[in-house]
Amino acid sequence: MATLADFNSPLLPTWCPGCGNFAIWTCLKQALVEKGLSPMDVNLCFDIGCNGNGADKINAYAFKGLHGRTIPLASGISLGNHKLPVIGIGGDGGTFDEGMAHLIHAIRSNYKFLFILHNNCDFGLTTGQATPTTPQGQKMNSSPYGVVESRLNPGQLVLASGASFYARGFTGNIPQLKELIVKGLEHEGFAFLEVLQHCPTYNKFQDHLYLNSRVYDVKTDENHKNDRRYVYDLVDYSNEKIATGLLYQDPESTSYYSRLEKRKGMETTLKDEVKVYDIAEQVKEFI
Amino acid sequence: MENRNNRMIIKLAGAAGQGIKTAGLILTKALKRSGYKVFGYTEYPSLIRGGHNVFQIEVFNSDGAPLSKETDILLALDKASIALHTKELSQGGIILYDENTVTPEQTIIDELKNNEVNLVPIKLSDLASTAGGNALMKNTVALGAIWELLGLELEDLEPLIAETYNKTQEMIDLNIKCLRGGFEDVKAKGLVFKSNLNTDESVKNMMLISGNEAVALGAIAAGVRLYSSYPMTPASAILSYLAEHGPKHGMVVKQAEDEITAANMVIGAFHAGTRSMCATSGGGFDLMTEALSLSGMTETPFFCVIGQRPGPATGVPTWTAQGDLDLAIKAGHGEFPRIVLAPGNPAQAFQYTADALNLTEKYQTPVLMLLDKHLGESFYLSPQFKSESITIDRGKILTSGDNETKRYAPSEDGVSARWFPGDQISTFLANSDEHTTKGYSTEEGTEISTMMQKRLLKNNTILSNLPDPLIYGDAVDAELKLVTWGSNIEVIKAAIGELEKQGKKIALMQIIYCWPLKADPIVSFLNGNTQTAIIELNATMQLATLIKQVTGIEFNNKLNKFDGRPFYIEEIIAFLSNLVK
Repeated sequence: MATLADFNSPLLPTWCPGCGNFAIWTCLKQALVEKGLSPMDVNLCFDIGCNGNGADKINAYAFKGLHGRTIPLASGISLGNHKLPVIGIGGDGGTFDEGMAHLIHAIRSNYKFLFILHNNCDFGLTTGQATPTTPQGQKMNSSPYGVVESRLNPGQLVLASGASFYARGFTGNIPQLKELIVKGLEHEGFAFLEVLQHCPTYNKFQDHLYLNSRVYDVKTDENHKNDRRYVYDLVDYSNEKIATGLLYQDPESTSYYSRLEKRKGMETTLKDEVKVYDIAEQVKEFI
Repeated sequence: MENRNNRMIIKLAGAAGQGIKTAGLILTKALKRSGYKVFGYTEYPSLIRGGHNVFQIEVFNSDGAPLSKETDILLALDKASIALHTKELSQGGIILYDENTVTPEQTIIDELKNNEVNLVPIKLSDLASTAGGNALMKNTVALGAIWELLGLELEDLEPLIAETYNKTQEMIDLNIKCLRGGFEDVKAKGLVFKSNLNTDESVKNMMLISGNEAVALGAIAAGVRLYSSYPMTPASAILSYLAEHGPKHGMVVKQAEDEITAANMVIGAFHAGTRSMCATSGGGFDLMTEALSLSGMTETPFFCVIGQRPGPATGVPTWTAQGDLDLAIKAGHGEFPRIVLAPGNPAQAFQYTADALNLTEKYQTPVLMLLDKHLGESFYLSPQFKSESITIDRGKILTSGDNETKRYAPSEDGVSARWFPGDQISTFLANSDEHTTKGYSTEEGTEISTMMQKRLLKNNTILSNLPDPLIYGDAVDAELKLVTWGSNIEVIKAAIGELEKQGKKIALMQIIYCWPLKADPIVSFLNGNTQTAIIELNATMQLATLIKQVTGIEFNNKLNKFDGRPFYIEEIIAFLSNLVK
């Protein structure tokens, strides 16, 4: 069995002190250990940004792709070997700006992999510009008079797009976040896990204490309903309290791969199947 | 100048939605099954209904695949078809038109009479309804009419009608009745179009196939397991063919939300250890260029087919061009090795699809294959493709190792051994950042230049292993040495065949691997005092410029055009005749 230490990279993190990424990093390793996976049993996919700067700070098979393109890259990997656990990781900037179309179509396709959204409501690595999740009116680098655009709500976006799994964690609650990663890895489809985190350097409007004083775990709420419309309203920005946990999961979810008619009953993965195929039947149709 | 006994041209024309392409394919294939050498060419606008559609069938005795400006038999299903093609009709040519729906203008009737073209009215619509069919079936009536005009036997055509309209027995019976109606009508009129074309038994067993379909068959045969693409003319037919037939072999075919996704999925799939590819046209490829650079940097294989059409921007979507050679060679930020190749006919498209997949895996760098609308969507005779002609070479793949095994370890040829996630060998990071041998990010100067040199070393390895360009004819005693690339090759072969009959000697070089471009074979081919010429279908002579850049050689003569049309044999013959007097 792999241990936490097996996932250690010789390189140390370069994030700012107090960054929420430390917690996500730790929970990810804990969850992989709990699932009995070793560094050579998984593939992590990183975006560009502060999350991506963690790509070589964890020992595992990994691909650090292009900004906003983590999702199609991870989709290709998970189809290429559907038995390989794949985790995509991206920030709120890359995911909702350049990667927006990919996210919505991955939800529609329901590829089987976990996507962890680092939501710190700003671009960190490019020094504090606004992202789609920065509140309207907030003054940021490159928005000196306040953000003009309205604020995008990740939960409402993915639920409205038909997400089969929407969970929300908080970097101040390690056991819960680890559990949500485990649940996401087990989901039969595209698991969207939003992680609320603080950016100590550039996010002055939503710090750790702000989040900590508002979050609660829906496990503690006996009225919580596993219902898309209920959760849509629950995660509205107008609510003072911030619900966390596994907010919605479609129990009937089927992954893209499992929906492919002609793959049904096949035991092998695409990785195992590179060989010469006989096209004699096709050739006949051209004679 | 040229003996037109060697060629007969049939043109089916009508409005989009009248089933011109279906009828054209039936006729072309039926002629092939009767032993005639054929080539089928389509023209259509970027519309679904209402535009003008043409299916042109060349029946010929020569080599190659000619495309003519002239027409011998025109089927006009609507009025516009007569006016649009009047000037193309040869002396003694025939226009069959639907008497029920078309009344030719008197000025056109006079013009055709002067040119000794015969206008033959047929009640196509009436014959279709007499047979119990609908208005669309008049193209089947017309097929019967043309078949009798050519003096051929109905039993050679009927099976194809049955194969094409095979939804229900009723459909088959109706179409056969329509076919016979047209056939008997022309028979009663006593019309015959005489040609001196030979049949050849070996043609009957050949394939009639488009370049796009050939790419798709190459992809299946060579073990592509994930095909991911976004539709774009003229490459969409690869997607639709594979969507239907790929899954029969277990292939996963994904219609992606855009070309960015398609390209990143292909890279992801190769990283996971399988084979993958995509296809698009120039505009879609523009969107893939950052992914191309990612493939170069992470040394993850990537293979894309680019079906060229006239640009810039949306350009002329359903027409042809060779304007994206520069794009393929230069696309993507930063410096990294790549291979760009361009097949010229379906047999090559099939074989080079498989070769390209080997190359991208062997050298772990992007491979781009250029087609164009003419090759992708025209129908060529081709020897039957055989899976046995395909070999799979995935390059250096490790099956064991320990955690000291480094994914980007230096090597003499620049190619490091690879393995795949899940393999119990050694973790690595495929990193779009500049990286160490393990894949970890680096900003250290020596490491940056070492890794750049390592990757670019593959250029030398590739260059010394690529096959030479193909040469047709004898360069030693040629009066003219001609160079071309892509789909021009087949019409040029046909033109040279005609000129050879007059004793002209022309040697032809087809550049298949355009990048990296091997200088030596080109220099030795063009060496001497013989006239040289280059033919390409773009405005800026992209291959000629590239050859000059690599060899210093400038061509004495150039033929190019950029009107969306492929080269016609008449244009090639006129150009070459001027050079070999």
